[in-house]
Amino acid sequence: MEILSGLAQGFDVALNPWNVLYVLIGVFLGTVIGALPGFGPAPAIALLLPFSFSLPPEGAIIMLAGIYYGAMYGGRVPAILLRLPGDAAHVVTTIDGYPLAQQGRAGAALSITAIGSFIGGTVAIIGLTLFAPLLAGFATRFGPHEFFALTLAGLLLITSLGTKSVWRSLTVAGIGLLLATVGQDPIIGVPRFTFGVTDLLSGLDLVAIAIGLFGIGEIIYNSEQQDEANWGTSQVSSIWPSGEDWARSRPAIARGSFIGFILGLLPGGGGVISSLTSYGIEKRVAREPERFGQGAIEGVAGPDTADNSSSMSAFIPLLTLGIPPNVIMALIFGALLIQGITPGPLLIQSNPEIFWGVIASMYIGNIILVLLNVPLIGLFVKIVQIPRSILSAGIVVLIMVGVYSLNNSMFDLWVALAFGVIGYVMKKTGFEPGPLVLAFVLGPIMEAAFRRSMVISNGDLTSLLTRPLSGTIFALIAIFIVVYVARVLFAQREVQN
Amino acid sequence: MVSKEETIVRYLSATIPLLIGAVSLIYSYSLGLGNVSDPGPGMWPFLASVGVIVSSIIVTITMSEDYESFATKNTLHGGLSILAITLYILLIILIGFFISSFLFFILWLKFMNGDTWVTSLTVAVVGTASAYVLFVVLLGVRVPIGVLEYLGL
Repeated sequence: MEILSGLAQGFDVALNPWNVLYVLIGVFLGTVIGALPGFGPAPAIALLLPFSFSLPPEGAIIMLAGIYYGAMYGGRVPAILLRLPGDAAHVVTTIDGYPLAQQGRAGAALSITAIGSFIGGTVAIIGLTLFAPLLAGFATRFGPHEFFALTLAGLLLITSLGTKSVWRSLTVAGIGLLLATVGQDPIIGVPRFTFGVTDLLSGLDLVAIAIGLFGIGEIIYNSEQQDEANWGTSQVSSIWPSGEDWARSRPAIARGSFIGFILGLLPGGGGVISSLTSYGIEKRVAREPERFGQGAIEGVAGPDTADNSSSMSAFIPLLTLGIPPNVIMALIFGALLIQGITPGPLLIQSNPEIFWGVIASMYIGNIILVLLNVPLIGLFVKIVQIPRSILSAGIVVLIMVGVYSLNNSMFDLWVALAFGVIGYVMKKTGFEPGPLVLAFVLGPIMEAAFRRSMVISNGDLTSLLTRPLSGTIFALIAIFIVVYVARVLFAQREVQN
Repeated sequence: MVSKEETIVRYLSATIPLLIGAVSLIYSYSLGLGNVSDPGPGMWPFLASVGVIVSSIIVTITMSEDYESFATKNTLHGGLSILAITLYILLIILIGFFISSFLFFILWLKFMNGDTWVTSLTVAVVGTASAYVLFVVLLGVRVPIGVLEYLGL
């Protein structure tokens, strides 16, 4: 009953005409930016984050959530049409999506992935509605020891799952933790890493860092890729999938919804792992696995469904534990903090309008997305074909206004540029920027939890292991590390043999 | 065969984080570590620095092939993009947002990407005007408008 009354309250918030407008703007802009080649959900959120701050908190978060799942929808467009995935989660979509486009069946692939994404998203939102309040209730038992254990587990998992090199990601995450300490010490106010620069006293701005790494970094990197760009001119004729397409895709969509929901809950699980897992399973259960890679419709339907489902279920750890499970959730976490709202177990009680409003808005946003995406496929195809030079120039201008408007500070423009250069160099040298942003967001929570837990337990480090809940989390971390190391050693032995 | 450039960049990409970790370690120590029951301001960054040092040493030992060359013609484009954005920020500081945005569009489209004058000028005019209407008029974002202030805008 509590869930139903909460949901009713959420729909009250989400159906407010302004909030419906914010959802509409969010999902539309998200889809458009997600559809731009080279731009995934992280740049989409980072670019539009500054403009959300002038909105009321629930409107801002509803819009940002819309941008996120909108960008997940949009990302499939360049992946299928141009073989240019906007983000890592859509790399899998290109494997069968592009061959389908070459066979003149891009329309069918785009519409079936839109419908699959809708179904996957809806399944995940129902799961979110049912499980989030339960988890939030359980998490009220957590103290600083548990939060430290959880954030540490999250950081370790995120840096090891779905990244190219664990040690590089850990290095980057460590630097993210250090960057988060720039500014005044949270307890005694001593300046740290400010080197006498007054602009640094209030710390580095998350948005300036994220826009730099994901926005400017991506633009500089993309400006190098001009010669290699493959601007296809795929024609989209019929958008409707055939009966056979449906028959093949239905079970893939059902499996993808479930896989995405479960993997979205895990730190680092998000889009990449869920789309990869779904593709692997579809190929394994297929009667003719040799069709995969040649344009198997279930090879796009399953992964895209899983991808969207995971993007919705990723809100569960954010809203209930206050732990962002991926970099996009970290950005939304930052946005909530800037709005004066702390996500965590108490959110459902302290700000039920946000907790339930966001969930209810997802039902609406998901319906808007499928309504937008099927008839507007032609429009998104046109957006994909806008010349890259014009797009990137426009985005740089958008970035400058956005970053400046954060604090009316020119200093933030330089911070964004510096991180843009860092992001570009990182991309060239195989370091991923995601763990840096995530650690930057988790850093202050980890530090506060660590320091408080040590004060409470009088400096007894073993208390982290002896308290039942935090001890369990540390045991799980240990098991994860052992399994991970064993897998790496096993894989190395296989290669040697 | 690993090129000389590749070797240099690989080592730099591993030693720069190592250096950052080492400098932060010393600096955090100077901030005061406190003790475990009452951690000082330097304790947390000290622990993070240790993490950076350990992982970057392992990165140095286990060099991977995952790296893109900087010594290509295209890198010049990347460098020019950085210069163009730097110039754009300097211009925003000097002459305000809108005239500098117009100039940035021209620089980016005509001179860096070889678009035609017609395309560059059209996009510059439409882009700058849309930015003004969207941000200043509709969203009420306060951006420095520089010399346009004298025109009463």
